Amino acid sequence: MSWLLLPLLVLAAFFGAPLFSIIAGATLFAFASQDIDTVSVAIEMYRMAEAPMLIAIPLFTFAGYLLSEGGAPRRLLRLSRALLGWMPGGLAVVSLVACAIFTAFTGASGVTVIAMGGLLLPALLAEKYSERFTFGLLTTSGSLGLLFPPSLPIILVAYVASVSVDQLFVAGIVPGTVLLLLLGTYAVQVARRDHLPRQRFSWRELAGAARAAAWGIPLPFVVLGGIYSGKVTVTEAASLTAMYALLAETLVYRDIRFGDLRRLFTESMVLVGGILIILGTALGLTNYLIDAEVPNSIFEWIQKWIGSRFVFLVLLNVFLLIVGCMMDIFSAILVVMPLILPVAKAYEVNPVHLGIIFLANLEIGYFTPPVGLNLFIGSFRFGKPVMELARASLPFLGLYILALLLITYVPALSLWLIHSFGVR
Amino acid sequence: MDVAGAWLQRLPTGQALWIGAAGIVLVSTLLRLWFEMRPSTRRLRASVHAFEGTLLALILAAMIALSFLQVLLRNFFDTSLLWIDPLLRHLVLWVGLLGAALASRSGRHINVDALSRLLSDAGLRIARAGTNLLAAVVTLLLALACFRLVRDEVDFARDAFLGLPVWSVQIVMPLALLMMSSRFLGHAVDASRGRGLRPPPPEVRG
Repeated sequence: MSWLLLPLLVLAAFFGAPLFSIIAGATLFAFASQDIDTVSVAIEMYRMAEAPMLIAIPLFTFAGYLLSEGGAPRRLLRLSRALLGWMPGGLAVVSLVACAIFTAFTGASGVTVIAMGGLLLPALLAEKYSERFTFGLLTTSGSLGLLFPPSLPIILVAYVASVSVDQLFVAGIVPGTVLLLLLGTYAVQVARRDHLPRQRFSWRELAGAARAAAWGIPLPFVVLGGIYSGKVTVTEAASLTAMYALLAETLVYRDIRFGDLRRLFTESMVLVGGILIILGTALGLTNYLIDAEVPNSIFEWIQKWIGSRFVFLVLLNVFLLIVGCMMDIFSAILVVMPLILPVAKAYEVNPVHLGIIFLANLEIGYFTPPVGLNLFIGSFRFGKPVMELARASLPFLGLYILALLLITYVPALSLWLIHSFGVR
Repeated sequence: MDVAGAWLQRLPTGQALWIGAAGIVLVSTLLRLWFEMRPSTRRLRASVHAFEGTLLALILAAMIALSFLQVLLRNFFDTSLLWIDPLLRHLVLWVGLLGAALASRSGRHINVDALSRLLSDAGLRIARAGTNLLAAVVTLLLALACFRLVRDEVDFARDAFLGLPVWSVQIVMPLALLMMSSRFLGHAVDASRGRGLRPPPPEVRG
């Protein structure tokens, strides 16, 4: 009977059971079948209270919610348009940059599709970008910012892989920029091909946009400058961001009324609860799998077939693309990464590099069927069928995969900045 | 605090505890169904919900304020309050579990609902009732494991911070999980009666 339980759990997951309950069910089953007291699951869960790094998660999430509810998306868009709108494909490039910044700061790529997508969609169509290009762009650039600090998934990867967040924050910059450049070049090409009109650069508009966004502009510099200079820890940066966003949105811009604030406090913590409960239960599962030496057996098994690191990385990419299609990013990081980590170490893959490979892979998972979250959020927001969005995303998917290959096979992209600045 | 601790110490072990907690969930769900229509219980549930929301908001506000205070103290006064860090770490546990309990209320847990789009209404009824029942059973088992952890911790009598015993901060785990279990059970019952089958439009989940 008991062997039926695991397939049943997987089936339940695909019919919409909460993922944490699947993970917890598998963990309880595993512990019980080994005659280990299930109180161990509770002990592992309590480890949530032992990691200072996790304090950053509620703080950054709250800041992101606050920013997306207020006028920040509008101001960010106006500013990047004043800065970059003059290029061929200007608005498309602006969309990419604004989405990347927004996702990095809110840590939630779905928020970007809703908040930025809603603003950009009419603007792009008005400038005569084709529907197909526009929908593909907006659906796929939601996850574009995940490699840039201080995105939430980076923090989770650092936590799971026990590498320093500071290193991962630096490591993501070049790969993220490569991706941004690839997509940007494509956007410029499309604009040239379709002979789209160009905007004129105006100092006046730039000054106006900068004045409007004046209170938001220091935020990235405070956070990133603080972290990169080593003056503040990630948790402290999260605290500063939350406080800053709170003061700017309620007292300076007054976009958020005081009455809405309690709702935002609660709403953002519902998302945090959803992530942390998966984290708490995944800790138990990981503990079991490591104790049962599952990573070792995986390694021994694949070592028979794969001798070189190169082939291992190819397989890893294929495997993670499938994982990205089937799982959401948080469970993928929390459940799959601990299994792969020791195996990758055996193939001498640097854990920081591995973290970046994971993130780049999972970025793609956001818009691949059947589970790609942004396809569904986009479908809801733009009122288009999921499959149409998936088709429109295809050219972008190709570029993402190209970037993924570069990131995977040129470790220097991820590690160069760390070494040259000696980040630890 | 001591009275509650002593009471927890006397809690029965093993199966008795299982049956006890299962009974709590069953009775609370039956009560919930029984009184569902009465305005007085609707008000009660509304106020429980409001209480959870307010508690969550207060915890987050405390986290923002205390962490900010700590940043100021560290960077400008070269000092820090020792109890803030452990407190913040435990508040993570609290927001996590209370947030998860609220997510259970409105069915907003992270999931990969890929197949239920293909189902007919009848199939969807079975799928939603089944998955919620599964979640209810699993969270109940988790809650029981956490209750036993708390009971052991009462015996150890360790301090977490500010003289608070560890079990008093851990208690949020079994309580929130019990709440979640009861809510999942409620959703399962609702689904089997054909209510709330089509999920609300995708919320922003990250």
